[in-house]
Amino acid sequence: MNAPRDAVLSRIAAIIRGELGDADLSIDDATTAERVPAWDSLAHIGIILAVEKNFGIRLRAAEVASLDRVGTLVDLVMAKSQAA
Amino acid sequence: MDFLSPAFAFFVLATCAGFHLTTRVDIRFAVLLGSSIAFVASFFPNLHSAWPLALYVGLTLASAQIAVRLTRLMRTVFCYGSVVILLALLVWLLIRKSHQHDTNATLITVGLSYIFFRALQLLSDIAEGTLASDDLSTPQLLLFLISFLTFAAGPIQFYPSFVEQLKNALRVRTAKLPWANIRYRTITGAIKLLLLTPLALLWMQTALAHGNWLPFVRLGIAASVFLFYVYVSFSGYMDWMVAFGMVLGFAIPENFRQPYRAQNFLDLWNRWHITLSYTFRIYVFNPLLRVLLTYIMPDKRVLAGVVGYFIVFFLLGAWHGAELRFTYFGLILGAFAAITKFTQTLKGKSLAKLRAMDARNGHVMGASLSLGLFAMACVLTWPGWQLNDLLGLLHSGPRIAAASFVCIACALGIILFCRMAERIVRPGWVTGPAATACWLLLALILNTFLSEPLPGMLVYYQRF
Repeated sequence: MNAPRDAVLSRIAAIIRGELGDADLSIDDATTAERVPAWDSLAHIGIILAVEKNFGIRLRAAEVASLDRVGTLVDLVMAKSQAA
Repeated sequence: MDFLSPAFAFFVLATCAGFHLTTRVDIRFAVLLGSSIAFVASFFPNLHSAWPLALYVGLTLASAQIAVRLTRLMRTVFCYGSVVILLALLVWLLIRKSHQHDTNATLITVGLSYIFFRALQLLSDIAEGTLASDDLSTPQLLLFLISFLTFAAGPIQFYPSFVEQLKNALRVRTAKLPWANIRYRTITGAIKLLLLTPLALLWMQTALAHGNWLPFVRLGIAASVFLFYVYVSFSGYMDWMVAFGMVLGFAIPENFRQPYRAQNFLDLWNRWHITLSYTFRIYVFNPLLRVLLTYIMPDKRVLAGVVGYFIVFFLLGAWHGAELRFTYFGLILGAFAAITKFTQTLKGKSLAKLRAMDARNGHVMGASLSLGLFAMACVLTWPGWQLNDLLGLLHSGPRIAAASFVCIACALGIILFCRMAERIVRPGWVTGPAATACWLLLALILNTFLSEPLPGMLVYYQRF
């Protein structure tokens, strides 16, 4: 699978909105967990698990640690999807 | 090596000068490794007393080098087996150290628990295949484990980030260094370590000895001052390590980020001892929640969160020492974290109003409650105290409750002061030439007139 980047971003944005229970949340590459009040450690692992299930990939601890914004997650998911 | 000794000042100057005298990468690396070995050696009076550290570092290096050469399944089993052995060894050494008053031998365990956290992430990453043998040269690994910038009291750096920084550091030019920031952090650290830390220890002693105050007032004020001492000593140490790191081209990760702006107890740990809580989040909380949400309670997100936070904060508290009082400390932190998570999920009109009011006021209430109750829990970690003495001091439920209110009130005062100072004070007022001279003079007067040595360690987190 080699989904175009915008499509991956929009799928991930939908997952994040669903996990945080906020359908109106604006999400782009630059969005960080710190800027979204409901995005705590518990919500974060919920998002990671949902992304893994949705894209059929597995994110490792060091990869999760390297995520600093939504754009990094999109890039990581694309790289993993291509490698799979 | 005492951070306030002339020997440490000479050591830092010599290391920085030796590093920048040459642009040769191999010599610069040798300076970093050699100075780190010399720094670590200064904690041990003789070669024999260094056996716990030598054993620990040797085991970590050997585990990493063996693991990276194994096949996937073997590697996973070997890495997690090594983590269990290293953890058991750490616990055994710390328990032996806590009973060392029974023997004549002195067991020195400084830096071990920080090395364990580095070993934990290193071996986890090798197990998951994110680190390959090309990334793991033994001299580089050794520097990662014992670098003088992070050995004594952290911060806990991640290996990939350390390697990346090391590459840049070995090629850094003196002219490109952020000298203004280095000066600011060095002076701020000196104010905290030379002036505020001894003052805090003196205030704590005075508060506890103040016979005219009610016992709960004495306890509450001493508990608040102790937390202030932990903050100024540890963040002062961090200021210096970040500054010295900058001189050598490293970006040492920060351990504090405006803790007086915490919204609640869980948020406090995003701002207090950040690298420790981050390591726990990545290598304990995330795998634990993955198991809970996937296999044990997939439809009970809130319950999984409450259980996960309780376990992680219990471990985080119990990590502070091998005595029973630290286990109680862990249980209290676990309870605070679980209650915070649970209350976050509660819905109701009055609760929503309360939350909105606190948000409008910059979360002053959440920050005061978090810091105040944390200060009270930290009574169990006071250095040099035995559990029975502490239980005598805490006395009863009503005294603990009343002292907690004093702590919350003190926290409120400090938070309002910090937020006001943040708006008013300019960096030049603190680190300008005249201000620096005043601080140093005050520190000199204070340290000259202290009649007897103050109890406790200078940097609280250096004792592990």
